[in-house]
Amino acid sequence: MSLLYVSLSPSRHEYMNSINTTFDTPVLELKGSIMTVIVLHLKATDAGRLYPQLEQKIGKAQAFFRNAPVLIDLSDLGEAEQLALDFTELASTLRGMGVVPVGVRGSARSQNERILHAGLGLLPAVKAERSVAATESQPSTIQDTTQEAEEAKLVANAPQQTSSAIPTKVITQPVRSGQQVFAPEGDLVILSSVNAGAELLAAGNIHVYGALRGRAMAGINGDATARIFSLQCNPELVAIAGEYLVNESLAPSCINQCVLVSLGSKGLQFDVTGSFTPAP
Amino acid sequence: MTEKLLHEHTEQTQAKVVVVTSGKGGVGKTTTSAAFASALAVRGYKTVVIDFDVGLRNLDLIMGCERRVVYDLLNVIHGEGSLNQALIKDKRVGNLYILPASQTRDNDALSIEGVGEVIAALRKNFEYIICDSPAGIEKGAMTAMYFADEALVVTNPEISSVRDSDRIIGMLASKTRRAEQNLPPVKEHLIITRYDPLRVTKGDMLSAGDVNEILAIPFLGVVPESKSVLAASNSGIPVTLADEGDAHEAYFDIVDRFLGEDKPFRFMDVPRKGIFSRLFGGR
Repeated sequence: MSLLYVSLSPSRHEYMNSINTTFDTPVLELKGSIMTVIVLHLKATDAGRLYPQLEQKIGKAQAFFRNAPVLIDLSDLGEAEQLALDFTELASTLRGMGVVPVGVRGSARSQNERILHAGLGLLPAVKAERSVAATESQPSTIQDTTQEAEEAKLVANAPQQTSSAIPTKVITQPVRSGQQVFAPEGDLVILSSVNAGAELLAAGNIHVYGALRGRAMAGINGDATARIFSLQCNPELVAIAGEYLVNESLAPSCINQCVLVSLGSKGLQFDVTGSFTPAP
Repeated sequence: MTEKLLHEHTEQTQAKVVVVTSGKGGVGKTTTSAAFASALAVRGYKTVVIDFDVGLRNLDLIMGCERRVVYDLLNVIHGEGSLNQALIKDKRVGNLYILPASQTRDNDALSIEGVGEVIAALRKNFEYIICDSPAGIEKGAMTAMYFADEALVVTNPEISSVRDSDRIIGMLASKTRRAEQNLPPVKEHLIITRYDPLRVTKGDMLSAGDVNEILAIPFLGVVPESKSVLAASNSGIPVTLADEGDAHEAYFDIVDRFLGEDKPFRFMDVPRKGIFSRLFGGR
């Protein structure tokens, strides 16, 4: 059993209300949205082991998990094992621990009715978790280790966690060739330039108030809403939630401009917001 | 007069260890070390220049003292000779000394503790200790920069040299004694050597402005590409002790700026040609 932060491709369970005063205009809007949820991967369904371990894992960090939506992943289980699982009992146990089970993914077709009956949604199994397939630095392995590290950290910190604000890492010096700056939880703000051969990694957004000439990877835990902003954009590589582009494939029109990089439905999107020359 | 000057300096200032480093090889570290140390000595400071390039020693050649080497840095570290035996006094400038490297060993023989003892001993007798770093980021370069208070980062106006210097600047901020002991950081200075304004205007070379923008450390000046540098090196005379020339003046400007003087930057623009050279060509 392990915790994983994954991005869900456009999910269908977020409703956005927009309030309008005019009578004829629609009062609601249905939109797909990408978000991060906690996924509970089940490796065995034997109740004697499952529930005590669940209690042990979640019980310790109830403050952190309180009211958190949880997705149950059954991809590691065969059909027979899934049949042995009582979904109603699992859902009520999870609710009893303060988390909100929202759905199941990776289930066998034969189980779907039982899952729906237990009040859980159905999601298709993920084909492959996204990872950056970059040349030398193998960010996919970095991603794995950071996830483990973060998991441990989050669980350890959870009981004391009172405010929901995640600290932003701020660097005031130039980030130089060979240096790596890592913000494992929140945003990363660089108040200087990032030179060729340097590397930035952040779970959240990356802001560079100077020239970005190195590599920048935002949303390394799968947060597809993360963005990268730089005053002078000429990166070796940019990546958001595993989607990446190297310098060669960037549009010439955005090179050395103020650019906002985000992840859209067609991949990375570059919005030029102006131009700026950092003072030497 | 010189003696008196010297004495005053010793009373006022503490010894400073200055590393001359670049990352990339062949950019002019040894030439700069020799020229910088000689110019400091000419300005009245008691100066020693140490060659850290164990196994590939060159500084003694540039300083013209290769035939007087008896003991070297490694002999001193291993207690095979005393520091006074190893120091070579320059024949041209009174308060300039050279501590040569060993040619028969390699950089692994350098130990941080041993070098620390040598530098501590030198601090008592000298105002400036110039450390000529080997190229690369291996042990020799790391040892040369470890005890530095200030650093001269020597760069050529081309991208690979600039990137290597960038890496070295990062290491100065993290791998030195000052970084490890949470002291004020090593003060970095940028020197751009082999600068050719004509090629900059043609777009073959990075401009000093470009290099400054990327490296973002205080700029001491450029040393123009000059035939006199090679000629001086081959005859064993530091550029600043050789006859007048562009490079000679550029290095003195750099030393004066390093010592806190405010001098206008020179040799950054294409020199205007006189009417005769315009008529008859040639430079």
